[in-house]
Amino acid sequence: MKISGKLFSRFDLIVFISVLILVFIGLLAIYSSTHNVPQVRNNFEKQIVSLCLGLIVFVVVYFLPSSILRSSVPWVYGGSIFLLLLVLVVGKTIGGAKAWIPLGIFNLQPAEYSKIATLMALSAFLDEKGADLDDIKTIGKFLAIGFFPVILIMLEPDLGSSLVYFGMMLALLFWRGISTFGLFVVLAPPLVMILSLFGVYYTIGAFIIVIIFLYVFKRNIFISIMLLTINFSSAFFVKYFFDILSPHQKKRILSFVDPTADPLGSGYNAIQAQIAIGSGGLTGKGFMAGSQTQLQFIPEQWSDFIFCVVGEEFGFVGSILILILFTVILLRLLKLANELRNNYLSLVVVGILSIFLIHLIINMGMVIGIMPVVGIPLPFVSYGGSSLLSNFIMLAIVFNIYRNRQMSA
Amino acid sequence: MSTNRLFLVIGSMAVFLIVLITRLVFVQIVHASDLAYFANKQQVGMEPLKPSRGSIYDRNGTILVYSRDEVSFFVNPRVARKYGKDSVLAQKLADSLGYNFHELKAKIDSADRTFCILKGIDAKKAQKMRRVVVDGLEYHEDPVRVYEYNALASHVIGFVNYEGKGIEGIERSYNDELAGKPGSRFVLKDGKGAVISILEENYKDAVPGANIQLTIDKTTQLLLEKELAAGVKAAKAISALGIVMDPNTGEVLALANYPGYDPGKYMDFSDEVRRNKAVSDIYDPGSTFKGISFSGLLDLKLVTPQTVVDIGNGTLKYYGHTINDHISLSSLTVREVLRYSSNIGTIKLINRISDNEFYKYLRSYGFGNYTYLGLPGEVKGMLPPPVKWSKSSKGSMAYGYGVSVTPIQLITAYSALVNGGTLYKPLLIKALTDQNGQVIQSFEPTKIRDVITPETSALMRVLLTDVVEKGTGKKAQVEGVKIGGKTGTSRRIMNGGYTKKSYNSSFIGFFPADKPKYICLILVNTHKQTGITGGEVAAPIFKNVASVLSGKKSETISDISLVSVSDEDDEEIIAPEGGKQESQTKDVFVPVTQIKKAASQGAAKGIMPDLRGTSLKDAIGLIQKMDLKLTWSGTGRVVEQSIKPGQKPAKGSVIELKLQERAISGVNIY
Repeated sequence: MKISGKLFSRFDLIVFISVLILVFIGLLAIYSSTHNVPQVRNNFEKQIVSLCLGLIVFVVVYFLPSSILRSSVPWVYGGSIFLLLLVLVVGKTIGGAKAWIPLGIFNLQPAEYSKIATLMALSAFLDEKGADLDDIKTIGKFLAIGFFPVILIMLEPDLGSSLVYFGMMLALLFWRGISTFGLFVVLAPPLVMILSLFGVYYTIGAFIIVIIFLYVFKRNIFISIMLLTINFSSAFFVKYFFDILSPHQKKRILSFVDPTADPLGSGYNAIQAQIAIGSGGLTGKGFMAGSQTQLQFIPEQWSDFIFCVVGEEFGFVGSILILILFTVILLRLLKLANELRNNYLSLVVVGILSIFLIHLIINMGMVIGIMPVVGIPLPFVSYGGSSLLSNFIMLAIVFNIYRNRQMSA
Repeated sequence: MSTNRLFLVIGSMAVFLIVLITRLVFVQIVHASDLAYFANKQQVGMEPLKPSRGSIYDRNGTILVYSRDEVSFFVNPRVARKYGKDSVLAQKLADSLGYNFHELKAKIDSADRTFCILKGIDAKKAQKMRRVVVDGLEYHEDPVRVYEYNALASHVIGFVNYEGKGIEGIERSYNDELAGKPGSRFVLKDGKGAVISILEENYKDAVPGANIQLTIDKTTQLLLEKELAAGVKAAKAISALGIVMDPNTGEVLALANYPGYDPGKYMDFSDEVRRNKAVSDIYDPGSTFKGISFSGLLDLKLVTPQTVVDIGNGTLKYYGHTINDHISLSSLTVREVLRYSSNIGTIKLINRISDNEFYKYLRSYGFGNYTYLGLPGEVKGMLPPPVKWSKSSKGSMAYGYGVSVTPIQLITAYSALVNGGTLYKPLLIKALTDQNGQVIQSFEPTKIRDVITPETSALMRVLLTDVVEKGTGKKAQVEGVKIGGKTGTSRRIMNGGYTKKSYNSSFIGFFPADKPKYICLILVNTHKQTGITGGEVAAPIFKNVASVLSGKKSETISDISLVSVSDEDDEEIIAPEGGKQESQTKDVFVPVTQIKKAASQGAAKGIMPDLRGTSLKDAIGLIQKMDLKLTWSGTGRVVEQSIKPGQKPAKGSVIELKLQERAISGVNIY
């Protein structure tokens, strides 16, 4: 008992088992949703291969010396930027986004890995001496490091992944102890962007709120005017950006406002997903017995809409189980981040936590109809090699940090 | 890290989780039943199952009308595009149908809805097209009504409209029986709307319509139609109609209007042509009615055949009218009045019967009332009651003016006149049978009443034989056959009055005169310029019909029976087993025509044909001649037969067929 107690003080068994259960549920759902779709019948096997690969990578990263997590940052970040540039040149277009680098047997999705790289780079930057969050220059540099990959990803375009970056950056700043004003500086432009999507009145409303906040903070006139300008221009940037969005993404965003407006078109997925989950009821229709799933009412259900399968076939019970497992994982990560003395490692753990959380919220939110339909997978559950692999890498980083942490006696 | 921030993080995580859980509760618990209803609604569809419409046979079981499926092809542009098959499909269709590739591709690329590319197509194209298996090409079968002998008995059979609903004739009056009862089944549809499987529960099979066996005899019908056409041509007449009946039962053996029409192309013909004038049009029967009038006089013994009447050299002043007879004799016997069709003699003698008594006879014969033959559009005719008569009414009615009858009324009454005095309801339907040929309902001759005594009837037969042998009906004579009959010529009613331009020239005759087997009415509408009298125009047509029916002239019948079924229209390509195979293997198609041709040749020699792949109806048709008893199970196409092909079953033995629905008929499986 003593030995195992010691072993588990270096290995978070609860998180690991939770993840394995999620992966197992995901495999069931992938099998159920693909077994009678000829084109993707081997997705189940592919996912198992990815899982094996993920576990191998997990073991490797788990046993890496902890110093590498810090020292490798320039290489990792530089490499991810290179891959993001490469995908824009040689990328393969699937579903309207040029986001995959074809590597023969599987396609690599650089945005999945650059999340980790950017997270490490940003954490390292915030941990440097002289990083003063009350200094607008520091925030500027921070945003530059974070937004460079985001811009490249938006060029693909991949809206879902971009949102993850915003959230992750926000989480890091918050964890690092940004002031309320700093938070306002960072948070206001994206909120203005989102509100401006809903139309002119929302945009004007957003500006009024921004002006009220600027008045409350009582900063000098130069800074106030600059911030106001940034917020103005971000609203116009949205309008411009919206125009260059691919039609399927435009439609998805518009259909969020009213999914029933075009039930066979852009709102189709959202409606069908809710019908699937809702018709599952409390206990579900049973494994492989979800009619909505088996009759393929939801396109590509095995990837971003995998939660429908769980909701339909295992019902509310299954949905809640997924939420509980994620909650356990997230709380364990938060506990770890809180205990860590090392600022950098703490930030990395919080960043990973935020990435998982944002995936969970956006993915489940879109499937149950409280978020726009943006293509973003449910971690460990959705089909997809790159996603599973990057999730295991992040998990392994957390476990590595957990293994090497200094335990308060 | 400050504790505040930690709690803020935990707090915001909790908020997110609570929002998600709340929403999940709403979707999966509060709205679960609504959403389950929507799921079921979009996944399960009800498909009506069309019953097959019953066939129509003649009295000997020769098929006259049946339903057959025709194939139509459709392009589903969304499916074609989804699978990137738009250009492949356009190319294949362009190749096999000769369409312009670019136009077709543009249409497939731009169209939103499924469109028809070929409707009810002919055999050879169906064969080629069914081999084109491309995503986005779909087909389905529509039942079409096949009138095997085209215009034959068109006025009896009638026709169905584009929805398959009977509009005229038997098709209309027996529409409910022929139509059967539609069934329904539930199918599972996937997200693309394609049928995935057929659900077993709530499967309600369609009840096929009953078959109708007419009393019409195909050969007699053909003969009558041919002779009417020839007679109209010979007399340069306008139109004609004829009815052949068995006077002892009221069974209608043939009923025809000339010109006829093709029920399969009913749109090409006017209402005027399509109207069955034998039941829907009335006319003043003229002298043929004298037979009816005299039967009353004789039946009440008010006259005898020898009773002499003064006809005043052929001219009579009668209530302001001058009646002329074309005979200038001072007196005639009753026998001669009929023989020469004297109007004056008839008028003078009819005064011996009271108005009411005369009216009673006419009512008894069925005038002024429906015959209930079973054809739509029948009218009652016009027989005014005595209170409405003028002083001259009875006299003119006695020779067939001032009373309007339908041809079917007249021949029905005449049947009673010559069959021993019993009025029968005219009969057009012998039986309703099920798909197996088992009788569901049979119709027996219905005696309505005795109108005159058998003695009077016998007397009338003698008097009417005299008409043909010595009087106005001489042209109806057939060598070696004793024929009785009466001619009639009346002005047609046009624009509300009698016209002198056009006449109803009729002859009604029966044979053998001593014990009539057939009675036949011929009514020709003639022009003034050509022959007008029934004796000149109608009697020769009757003669031709009678000479064949009596067996005196037989070659004509064999000529007629040469009109046969063309197999060419029948070509239809089906997969021998299961629709699923159609989309997987390509060369499993066997033209049904080949099956049918070979099969019918074999069946004629008593050899069991290969029935597999045929519909039940075709199978029944194929083994019809073999005198077998048929039982079957299932629906769809024959997949198994208890008597193997090539065997020679004994007469009366039982054959069992097993039928199976093609898995998903007419739907591509993606």
